[in-house]
Amino acid sequence: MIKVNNVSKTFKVYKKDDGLKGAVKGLFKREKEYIEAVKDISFHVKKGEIIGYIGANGAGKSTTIKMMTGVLTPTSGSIEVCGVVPHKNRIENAKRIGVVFGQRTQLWWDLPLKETFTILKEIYEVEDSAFETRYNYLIDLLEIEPFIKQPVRTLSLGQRMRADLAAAMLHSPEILYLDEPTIGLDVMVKERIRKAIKELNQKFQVTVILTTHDMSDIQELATRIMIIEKGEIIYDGAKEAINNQFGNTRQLDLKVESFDESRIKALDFFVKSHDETSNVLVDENSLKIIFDQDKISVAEILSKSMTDFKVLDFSLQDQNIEEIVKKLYQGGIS
Amino acid sequence: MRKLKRTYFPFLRATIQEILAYPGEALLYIFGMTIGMFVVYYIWKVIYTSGTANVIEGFTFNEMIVYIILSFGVMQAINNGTVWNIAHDIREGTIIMNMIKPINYHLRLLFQELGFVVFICFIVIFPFSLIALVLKLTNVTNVILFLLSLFMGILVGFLFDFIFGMMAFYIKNIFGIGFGKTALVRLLSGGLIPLVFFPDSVQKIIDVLPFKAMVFTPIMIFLGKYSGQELIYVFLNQVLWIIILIGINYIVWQRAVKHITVQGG
Repeated sequence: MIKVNNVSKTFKVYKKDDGLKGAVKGLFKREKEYIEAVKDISFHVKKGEIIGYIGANGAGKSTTIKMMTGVLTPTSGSIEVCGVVPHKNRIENAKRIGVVFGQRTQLWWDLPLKETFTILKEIYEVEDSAFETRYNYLIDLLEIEPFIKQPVRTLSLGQRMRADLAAAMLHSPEILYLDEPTIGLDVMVKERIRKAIKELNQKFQVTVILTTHDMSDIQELATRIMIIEKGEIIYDGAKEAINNQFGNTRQLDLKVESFDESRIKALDFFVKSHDETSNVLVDENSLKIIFDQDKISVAEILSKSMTDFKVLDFSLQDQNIEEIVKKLYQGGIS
Repeated sequence: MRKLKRTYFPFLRATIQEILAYPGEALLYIFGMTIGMFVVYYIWKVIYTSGTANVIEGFTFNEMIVYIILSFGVMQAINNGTVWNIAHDIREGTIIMNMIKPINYHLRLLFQELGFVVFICFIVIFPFSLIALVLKLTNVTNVILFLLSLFMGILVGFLFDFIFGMMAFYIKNIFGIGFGKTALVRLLSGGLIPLVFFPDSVQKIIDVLPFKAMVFTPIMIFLGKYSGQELIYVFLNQVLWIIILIGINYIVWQRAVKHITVQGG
């Protein structure tokens, strides 16, 4: 459905020196600088997949999405979406996709929501009967009815985002690009949006490409995860398989009564003797021990700490995607 | 054609709906414009009553009043924010929201602008044309030719604004230069005073610029100042400018799109 082969994107920026002197100098001689936003990435997407596309700010997520929607032209490599090259046939491609940018709206600010939907119906040339069914379905799914007659400017962020999602789905696109669709939303609205995305995917086999910084979005929705870092895809595979690739790391939090530098060192030494990648962190009045459970068991660490410290409380955290991603962002795994 | 109407007409409608969404503001707008017209009216009244001549540069007082009112209307219709819309879309990156939809950006903005033109037509141009017809200041043929010429004048204004708006890619402070542009267009298009008031040498320069086709030409047609060959000539002049400006737009837009697609939103 989507084929991305060896795509790179280089931005040309003009470097400016600081201050007035630099500005004047810039008038005569501008130094070019090339930034590789995306480096030789390849992936294929099948119909009905929900891809969680994650990466730190500036890692190249949005650039990839913009290339797939036809807004940006790749510097090299090829992209094909449903048999169409997006940047060459932008309008053709646009008819088959729905896009939601969480930071921006595609609704007309001063018009009642209902009017926006009517306009979109005309733009995408949706037949009356098909529109009717679709419209009623989406209104119901996203619970839009209560504010359908209000001008968009009076909607809350949560209402607006639901409306934006409905607007992106009105013309029954085959692919839905969601760029941070849950940004700034409360838990309830997030939940509703996720439920809607899931249902649209299951009912209509809509392919979804989702970028987000909220790992629970990924946890609940994605069937496959792609992680991009500094323009390169460093992981591409099933959500469940991510743990295998990046080790079975867990985190043990201990609340202890008092600290003793030497004892912490001893504990650190003990854990490290089994797993050299482990880490013991001191945080206010608790200890955080991050370790690979294939190399050292929880019981071993616990019994050691129990003897050395007066442990008031402890909790054991599973390695979740968030932790993996955090480590990836920090350059912990590469 | 049908597709054009179906796809882009909603934008025209949307502009009108947006104007009507703030009825108070629309009324204030009309009020402000009326005051502006009265100020200019009194200036000309003083000029006509203080001199001995009843006809100045070929304009009777009544014709001058027609000119003032129409030029206000036409000037508003032309100078309606296309530049700011484009500049805003480019600066804020909202142009991307347009590029993810199966629509042409030029046509979208044109129809959005035409929505405003329709508004101006209903509050100024149509009622006033009717009044002028009743008072026998013009005739039906002239009004019809005027409306045709007005439409072309608006196209010229739109295409010019579009080119100007795309300068936002290169100039950060388009506001300052934008106000300068507005003043210049007002002066050179005949939006301020009829162009016949300029010295011959200046008029010769104006003749080879596109601004005349925006305001002066349609109103002179309304007043029945052109006839026969002259009429054909001014229409051809408008058509020519439309073609030239479409050409320039095409070139600038190709570069601009590359800019967007190369630099990102």
